[in-house]
Amino acid sequence: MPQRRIRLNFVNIFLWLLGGGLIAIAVVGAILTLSQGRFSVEAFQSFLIAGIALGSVYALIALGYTLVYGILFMINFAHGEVFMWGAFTAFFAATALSDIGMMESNPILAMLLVLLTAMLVSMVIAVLLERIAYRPLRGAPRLVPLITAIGASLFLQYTARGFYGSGVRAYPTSGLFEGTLALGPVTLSVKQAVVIGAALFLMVALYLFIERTRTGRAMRAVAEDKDVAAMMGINVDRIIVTTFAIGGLLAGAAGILYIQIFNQVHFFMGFLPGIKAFTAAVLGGIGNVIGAAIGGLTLGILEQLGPNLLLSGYGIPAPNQLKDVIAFSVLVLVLIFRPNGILGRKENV
Amino acid sequence: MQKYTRWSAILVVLMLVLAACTSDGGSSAAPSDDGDTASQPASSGGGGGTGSAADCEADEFGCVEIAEGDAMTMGTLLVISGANESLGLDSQYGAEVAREMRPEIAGHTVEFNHQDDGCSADGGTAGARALVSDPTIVGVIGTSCSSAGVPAAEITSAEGIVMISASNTAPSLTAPETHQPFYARTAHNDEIQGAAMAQYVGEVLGLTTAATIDNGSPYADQLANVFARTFESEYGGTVTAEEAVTVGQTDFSGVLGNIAADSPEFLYFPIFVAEGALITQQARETAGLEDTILGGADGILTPDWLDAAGDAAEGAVLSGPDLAFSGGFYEEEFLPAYTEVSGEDQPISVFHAHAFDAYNILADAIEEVYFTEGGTTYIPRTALRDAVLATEGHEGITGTLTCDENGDCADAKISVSEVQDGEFVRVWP
Amino acid sequence: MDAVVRRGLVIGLLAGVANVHVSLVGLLISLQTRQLVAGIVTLGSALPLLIALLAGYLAGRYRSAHGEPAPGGRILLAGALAGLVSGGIAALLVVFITQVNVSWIFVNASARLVSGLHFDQDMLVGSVILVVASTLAGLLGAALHVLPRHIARALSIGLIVTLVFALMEPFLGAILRNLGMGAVDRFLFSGGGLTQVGAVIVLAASVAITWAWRTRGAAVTSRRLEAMKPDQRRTAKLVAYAAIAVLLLLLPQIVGQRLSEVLTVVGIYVLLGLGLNIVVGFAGLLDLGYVAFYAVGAYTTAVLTSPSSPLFSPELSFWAALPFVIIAAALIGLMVGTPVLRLRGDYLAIVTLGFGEIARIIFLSEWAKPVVGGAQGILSIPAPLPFERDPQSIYYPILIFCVIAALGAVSLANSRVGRAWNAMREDESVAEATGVSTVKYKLLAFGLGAAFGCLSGALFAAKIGTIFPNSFDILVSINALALIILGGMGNIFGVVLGAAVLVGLPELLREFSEYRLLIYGAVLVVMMILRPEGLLPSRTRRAELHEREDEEEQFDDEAGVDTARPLVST
Repeated sequence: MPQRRIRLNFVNIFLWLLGGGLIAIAVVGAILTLSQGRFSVEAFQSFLIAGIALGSVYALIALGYTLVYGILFMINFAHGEVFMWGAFTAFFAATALSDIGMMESNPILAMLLVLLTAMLVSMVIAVLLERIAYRPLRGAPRLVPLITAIGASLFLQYTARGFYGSGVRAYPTSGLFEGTLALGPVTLSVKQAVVIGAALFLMVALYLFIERTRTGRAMRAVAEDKDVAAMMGINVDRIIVTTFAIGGLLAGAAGILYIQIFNQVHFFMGFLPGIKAFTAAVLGGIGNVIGAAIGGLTLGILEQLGPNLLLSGYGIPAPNQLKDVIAFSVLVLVLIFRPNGILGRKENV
Repeated sequence: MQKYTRWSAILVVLMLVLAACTSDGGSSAAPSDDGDTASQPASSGGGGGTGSAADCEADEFGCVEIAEGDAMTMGTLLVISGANESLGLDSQYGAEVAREMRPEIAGHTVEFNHQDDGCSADGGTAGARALVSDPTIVGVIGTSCSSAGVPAAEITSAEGIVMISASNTAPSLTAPETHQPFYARTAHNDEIQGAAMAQYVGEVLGLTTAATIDNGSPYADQLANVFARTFESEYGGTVTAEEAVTVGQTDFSGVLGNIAADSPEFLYFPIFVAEGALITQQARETAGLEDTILGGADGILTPDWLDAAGDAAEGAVLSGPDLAFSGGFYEEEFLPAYTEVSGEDQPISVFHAHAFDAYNILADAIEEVYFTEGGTTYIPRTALRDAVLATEGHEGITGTLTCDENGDCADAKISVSEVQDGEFVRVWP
Repeated sequence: MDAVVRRGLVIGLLAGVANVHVSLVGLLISLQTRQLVAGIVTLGSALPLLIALLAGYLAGRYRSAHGEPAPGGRILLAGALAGLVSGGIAALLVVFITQVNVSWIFVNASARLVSGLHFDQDMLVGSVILVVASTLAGLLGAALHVLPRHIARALSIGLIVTLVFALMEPFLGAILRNLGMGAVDRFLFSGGGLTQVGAVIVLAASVAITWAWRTRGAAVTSRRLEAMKPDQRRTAKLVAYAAIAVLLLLLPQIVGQRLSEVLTVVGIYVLLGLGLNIVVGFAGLLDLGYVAFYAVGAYTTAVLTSPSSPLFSPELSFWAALPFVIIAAALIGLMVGTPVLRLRGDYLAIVTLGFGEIARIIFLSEWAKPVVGGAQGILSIPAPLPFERDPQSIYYPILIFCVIAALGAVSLANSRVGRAWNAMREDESVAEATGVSTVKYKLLAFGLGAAFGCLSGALFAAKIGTIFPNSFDILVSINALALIILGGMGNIFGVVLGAAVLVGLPELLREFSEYRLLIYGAVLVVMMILRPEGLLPSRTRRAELHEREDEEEQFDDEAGVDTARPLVST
């Protein structure tokens, strides 16, 4: 890309001021909070762990966004709903299993069954989405699939509302993941450990799948250049379906982990985590698998730690209401200085 | 250039015609008569009031007219969908039971026009707009939530429609400066509920530190505030944090972590079901809040909250209206009728009796002021409001109700229940 | 099995899935309350039959590999088969939900659903009626391909018009009553649908008119139009414009109170759509947070005009507050515009979406509560005098602003600025190289977009009188974006049509209100697949979209660049 003439002076100054101002607010806030000594080290530790747990869920959803974007250059806006359907499926499976007593008698098998059904349903929905809504639109201007995705998102959301009702349903606690765990100086609840562990496992598995297997290599080839990949004998359609399926599986798993933390399902529950995960994907550099993981964790930690660390020092009432403001401000900040995200390559600008 | 002159000419003409249109537009908007009322046989008028058609002219908001044989329409504006639907449906069943027992008012059967207040300010606005657009509405029973009540009271009062709430408890609704003229309530004022909770925590439990969480609604905001002020001034307690959350939020670990920094002995969150259940669960998992006693108010005094919160609800204390004094009629006649109307074995929330009383206060007031002429029943709106606010010694389920000039009618009795083995058990007084 | 029959089976299967969906989602039950033809069939019960009809029609539209239609007998067979399968699946659904307790999962799997699907008959009779009626409906649908063209067309248009008339009862009935033709209303409509006589009349009239038009009228009219001289044609055009203007002015008086309310909502969305059209349609900047502008406009108006705004209430009049609204718009436009100057495509989308959320969260927060009232919002915002809050009166200021905005948008599009945006949208680097200052024109687009959005918000606040943060969620942005796309981007009439369809129709069809977003989502998907250029596309955009279909798919190597395919094309 040819070097742009430096005509952006006014804009540059404004952006540096904005960025500098935001950073200064954050630093001063953190110093004020720390000097007040309101929070103990343990408190910060628990914010951090809660943030990592939430962030790993975001990361799992973000992977779905990033994989699809990497191959099709489209925002699969309905991905948050795939996650929601996974959570609902997990809820019904868990309720049914606890009704027949399996949750108590054989909790590990029951959990695996719940996991399997939820991931399968999410995968099927993701694949159907691709087949019905997106495939006919390949090659259309980019706004077209985006609008389709928004439409599909509304459709899935309100189908869930019609099917399952508009109320909040409480997830049955299995008693499987109760108690706390001490890892050296850090204590965390078993739930959090399970969520973090499972997410980590899935992410590593995905990484290995993409790096080591034939299909993974084919996916990378398609992401690089569809036409060349097709000439090399790769079935592009199949690879795209596989990508959606993997994204669906991960979203289903994220759905289960999410209700382990929050214990309830609701038809609107996919929206905000979906947006957050998408933000995480952009933050990390969309199209980049490791970037999605880093973006997710960053966002989760910011949400938990941000308001209490950065804002409570100013004596702002109810600082935690503003956690999403912090999250989105950081996104703006990162994109001002690195327009392609944390791990996006520089020449992409 | 020519193009612009043409367009601006059109624009000018447009605005001129427009000005002409609006000047008579307002007056021609009177609702058209359907023609059904014309051919009624004349009959000499009876009725509680001694009015004539001239009184309707005199009344600032005119009269509700009901033709002979037609039903009278009463509006309800309650939360009947979503996470808090049990609160609104409970009141709706209460009003329906009251209608079952008193099917005719002033010689007319009663029909309900049910609207949803959404338990939010915007829901209350939309519902109230829908009701005031119906000129046959005599009065409204509602709203469920104070957040909906604030705008709804303003809208109904502007149209001269009396509204009696069975479960609005926010003090500002009946405070002299902010009271809307056509508003009254049979629910207690939270000045009383908040103080009662403070007394229970400070005196009975003997605790000295507390934190509060509200959700920005007038109900939660004011109740938490009354509790905090009373707890500090009357019982010498310390309020360590006054936090707020937003409706729809699911992750409260940041808020709870902030509160846990001071390890308060009592955590008061007088909010609603969805967020209340999550806070209950997440507080149990927050380091520093393990031994904190959780407390809420009538917004979550419902089996729905117990279900949603699960085991974490054990030991929580909730304040709410005390129906233990209600006596024989409540147990023997009201509750069976409630079961019949609703299909529920147990009341699903705590304001059904208040709605029952609201219906009867409204009915009494109608019967006091209506008059008939030529077979048509007339109910002057301002006179109806005056009659409601002048209610004195009304024997209802919730006690002996007397309204003051700001619309507070309740004979308030507050009790505190504790969750024991998954059920509400009355522990105080 | 031959291809025609297989097509029938597959389409029948899909129709069956659609039946199951509308049943379980609750649409069928809630439409039970609306009569389609009074005393004969409710809209809810007709739904499976309409689905079967459509299935039959689609099944009959078979073309072989050489583009040949199938023989008539096979078409009818395929249609009947599609109807049979679709009705059969619905009947199986009934068996399933009566035998297995699934109501703890599907809240609508209830006795009401069963009786709705069974036309209020008992198990056996009901399912036989359902299956037979569906088969016949499928047959009828397929028959439209077999019948002579004129008859088929007249018949299908007749059916559609009758259905639309029945659906539009709230709308048409209100107009009739308002114009003092209550008798006509009672004659034609009843119980939210047509009366039996009314249904016959409407069907017969629409068939007859279609027939006459197809055989004679169309040719005559086009001949007359061709015979006109150029200046006559211009006069005709002017007369048409004048007629539209007069109609717009008298509309509230014609349609009455309730529909005027709907008109005002549509008007506010037209204004929003026009503004967003500048940002997305003209300048090609995908903004998913347009609601931020709308919210800022509404809140600025509310704080400045309402006596009950908490901290600061100068109680200006609506018109006195307007200049401040514009200033606020310019500021917020710059604030959103500057940080996103160097972002492209999807990055821009997510950042603007973030801004939209930030606005809502701040208006909702305890922190800003002293100024903007938190979740309780701001009450008692005055109406823009001399107009009143009454929808028939507030319609006029909204109309004025819409007309001004539309004229402004048209002249902008044809100006130097519009051409600069065009160049920028097509290729930013090239535009920059040819001397177009992208910074200037991007900021200009954001500023103008913000001004339109803020104006729309100000009118919304004045119209509704009370505002709350929850009125400003992302659905407003999505609505605005969807309506300009549905209508046809870059076209002013498209924006109006889009607003009328996406915002106006759901307000009218009350029974659908709970399902409006569901239907909305389905419409967006289907629309994008079948007609991505929108209902009323501008000519260039349409041409480009179709030319694009032949193009080979092109992707750049790296995310974010992808300049080969512009985000929006015109």
